[in-house]
Amino acid sequence: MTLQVTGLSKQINDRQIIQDINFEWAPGEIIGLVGRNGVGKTTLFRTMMNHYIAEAGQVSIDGEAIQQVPQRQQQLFFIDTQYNFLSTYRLWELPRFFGAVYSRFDEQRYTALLQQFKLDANSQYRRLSKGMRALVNLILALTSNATYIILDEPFDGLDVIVRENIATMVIDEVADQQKGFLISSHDLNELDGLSDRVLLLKDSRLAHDYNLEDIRARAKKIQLVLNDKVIPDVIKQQSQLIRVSGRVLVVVISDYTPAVDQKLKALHPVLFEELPLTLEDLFRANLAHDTGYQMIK
Amino acid sequence: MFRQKIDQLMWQRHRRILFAIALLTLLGMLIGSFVALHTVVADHGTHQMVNVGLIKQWRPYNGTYFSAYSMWLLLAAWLSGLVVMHLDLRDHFNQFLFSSGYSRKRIYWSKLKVTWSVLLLLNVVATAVDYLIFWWGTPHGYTWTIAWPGVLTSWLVGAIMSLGLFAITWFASIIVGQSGPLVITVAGFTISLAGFSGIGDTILTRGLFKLTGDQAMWVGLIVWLIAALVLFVWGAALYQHLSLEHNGEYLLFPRLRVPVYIVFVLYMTLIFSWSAVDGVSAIVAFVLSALFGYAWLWRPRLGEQWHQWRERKQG
Amino acid sequence: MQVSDQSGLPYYEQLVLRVKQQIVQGILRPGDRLPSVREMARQEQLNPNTVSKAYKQLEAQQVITTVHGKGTYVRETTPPAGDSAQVIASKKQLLTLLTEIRYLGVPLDEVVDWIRAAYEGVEK
Repeated sequence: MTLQVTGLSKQINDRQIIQDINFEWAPGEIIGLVGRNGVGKTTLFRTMMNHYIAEAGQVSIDGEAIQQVPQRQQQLFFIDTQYNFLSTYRLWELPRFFGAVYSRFDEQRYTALLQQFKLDANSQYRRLSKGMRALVNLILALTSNATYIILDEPFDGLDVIVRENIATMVIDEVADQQKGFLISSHDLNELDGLSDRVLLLKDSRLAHDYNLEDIRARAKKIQLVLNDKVIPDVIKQQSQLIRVSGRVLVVVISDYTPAVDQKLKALHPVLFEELPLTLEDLFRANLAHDTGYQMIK
Repeated sequence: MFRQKIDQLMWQRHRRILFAIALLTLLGMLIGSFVALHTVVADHGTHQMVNVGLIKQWRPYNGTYFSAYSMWLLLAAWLSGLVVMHLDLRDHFNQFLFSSGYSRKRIYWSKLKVTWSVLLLLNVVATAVDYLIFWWGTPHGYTWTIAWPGVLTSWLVGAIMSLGLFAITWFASIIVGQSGPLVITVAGFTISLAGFSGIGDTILTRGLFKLTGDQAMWVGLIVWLIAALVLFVWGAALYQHLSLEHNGEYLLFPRLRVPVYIVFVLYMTLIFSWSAVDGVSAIVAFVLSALFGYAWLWRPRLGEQWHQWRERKQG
Repeated sequence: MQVSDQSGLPYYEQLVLRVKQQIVQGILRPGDRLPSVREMARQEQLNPNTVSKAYKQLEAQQVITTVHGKGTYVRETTPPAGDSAQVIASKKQLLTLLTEIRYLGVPLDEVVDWIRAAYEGVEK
C-alpha cells in the first residue's frame, strides 16, 4: 500500500510553482512537508487533490493513477483551510456531504468526537474560532477513514492545548499503521518528534527527503569556549555556526565523526558541552549554506 | 429522491437554492395571475381571458391576460443555470467535488441532471397551479378557454427557450469567475439576444430565404436548441480542464481571452450597426466595443487599482 | 518531548536510555508493564514508529519482553554475560572516556564517586 507522486508540476500565470515533485508515502508514516512561506506547499496539495490541473505528473494510489481511476481519490483526504465550502453549514450538516463522498465515513464517531471536544453541532462552521475549525477539520479527516490524510499547517496559530490534542489524535491514528499523514508547516518545532520523515520544498522542487532519526544519530549541537578569538578552520568547514557571543560558540555539526571529534578536542576548548538538538538546528545546519532557509522564532 | 450517491450529493448541496428559485417562480406567477384576473374586469372590450381563435392554433400562446407558458419559468431556468454552476465555484464546493473520487464528467452531468429534474418538476407544478388559478378564479361572466394546440406548442417552445436560457447562464458560469461581472455579462448578453433575434428574423424572412413568420420561428428554435446542446457539450469539455487557481478572475480559462474578445467585438458591432444606414455607426460601434472589451478582459485589475487610488486620495 | 536530558541523541535512543534509567532507579521493576507503543507515543508526543523502534531495541537487548496480546513487560534482570558484544562495546567506550578524564586531570577518587553515584541511581 503506497501513494506515489511522480513528476508533479504546476505553473500558475507562467510562474513555475512546483516542479517535478516525486515521493512515496505509506500508511503508518507521518511525513512533514517544510519550506518557507510561499514556497508552494499548499499548491502541491491542491495539485495532488485535482483542484489544480497539473501540467505534468500524477498521483497514484496502489499503482492506479487518480486521473484514470478517480475513485481512488476517496483514499486521500484534504481540507483546504483557505478555500472550503464548510463556512455556511452547521456542523451537524457536514456528514451528509462527507458521507456521500467517503464510503467509510463514520458518522457516529464524528458526533462522538464533536461532543468530546465540546463542539456544538448546531453552530455554523464560520462562527467557530480558529482552533475549533482546526479541530473540526481534523475530526472530518479522521472520520472520513481515508488512508492518506493531508493537513495543511494544522498547528498554525493554535494554543498549546489544541495543538497537543491534534498531535495526540494524529499519533493515535497512525499507531495502527492503517493511516498516513502528510503535514505541512513553516515552523519546524511543531513537527519535532512527530514526523519521522521530512520533505523539504525549496525553489519549487523537493530539495531533500530526510529521515530525522538518522540525521539525529549523526549530528551534534555543541557549545564551545575556545582560547583564541579566531574561529578555527575545522569549525568553519565542518559545522554550522549558530550563535557567537564573545568567546562562546554554538555550533551544529551535521556529521559528527570521530575525526571531527578529535579535531575539536585538539583545540583544547575551555568549555565543551553538548546541547539539546532541535529539528530547527538540523535544518539550519543542513541548509543554511545553500538555501537561506530562515527560521521562525 | 435520487438513487445515485453523486446525484444525492448534488441534491443535498443545491436543494435550498433550487427551492428558493421555485418559490420565487410560484410567487411571481401567482401575483401575475391574480393581477390579470383583477384587471380583466376593468377591460370592457372583452369577456375572454384567452383569445379562443389563437389558442386553437399550433402556435405558442401569449395573450394580454394569460400565457400558456409563464415567463417566470424562463426566469427560473435562467437563474438556475447561473446559481447551480456559479455558487459551487464561489463557495469553493468545487474543491470538494474535484477531490471527491467522482470524475469531472460525472459531476458535470449529475449537476445538470439534478437541476433539470427540479426544473421539469417546477414546470409541471407551476403550470398546473397557474391553470388551476385561472380555472377557479375566472370572474363570473368571463371565459377561460384552453385548447391542446396552443397549450402544447407553448410548452414545447417554452421548454426549448428555457433550456437555451439555462445553457447560456450555465456556460457563462463555467468560464467566468467573478460574481458581479458574471451577472452583468449574462444579463447583457441575454437582453441583447432580443436584438439579435430580430436580425435573424430579418435574414430568414426577408433576406435569402423568404420564409414565413412561423417557419422562421421554428428554424430559430431549432438553431436555439442546437446551440444549447453545443454549449452543454462544450461546457463539459471545459469543465474537465477547470483549474481552480483562476478562481476570482474574470475568465477562468485564460486561453479563452482572445476568442472571447473577438466574438465580443464582432457581436457588439453587428448588433449596433445592423439597423444603421451609414457606415459611421458601424465604425463607432467597432471602436467602442474593441476598447471596452479590451479594458474589460485585459484589465481585470483596473477597478481594483481605481479603488486603491481612491483610498490613497482619501486616506 | 520531555524525554531529553541527552538531547543530542535520536529520540528512540533517548527513550531506550530512559527506560534503562528507570529500571536502574527502581521506578520500573521486573514484571512491570510498560505502556503500549500507542500510549507511550501519546504521552511523549512522539511518532509511534520511533517508540516502536525503541521497544524493539530494548527487546533485542533483553531489557523488556513482549507477550503477544498482553503487553510489554520489564524482564527479570539476568546476570550479564561478561563477554557479550554489548558489554565489550560499552567497556571500550568507558575506557576511551576514562583516558579523556584522566587527561583532563580528574582524580581517581572523584571518578569512582561518579561511577558509584550512577550505579546507585542517585544521579538525576
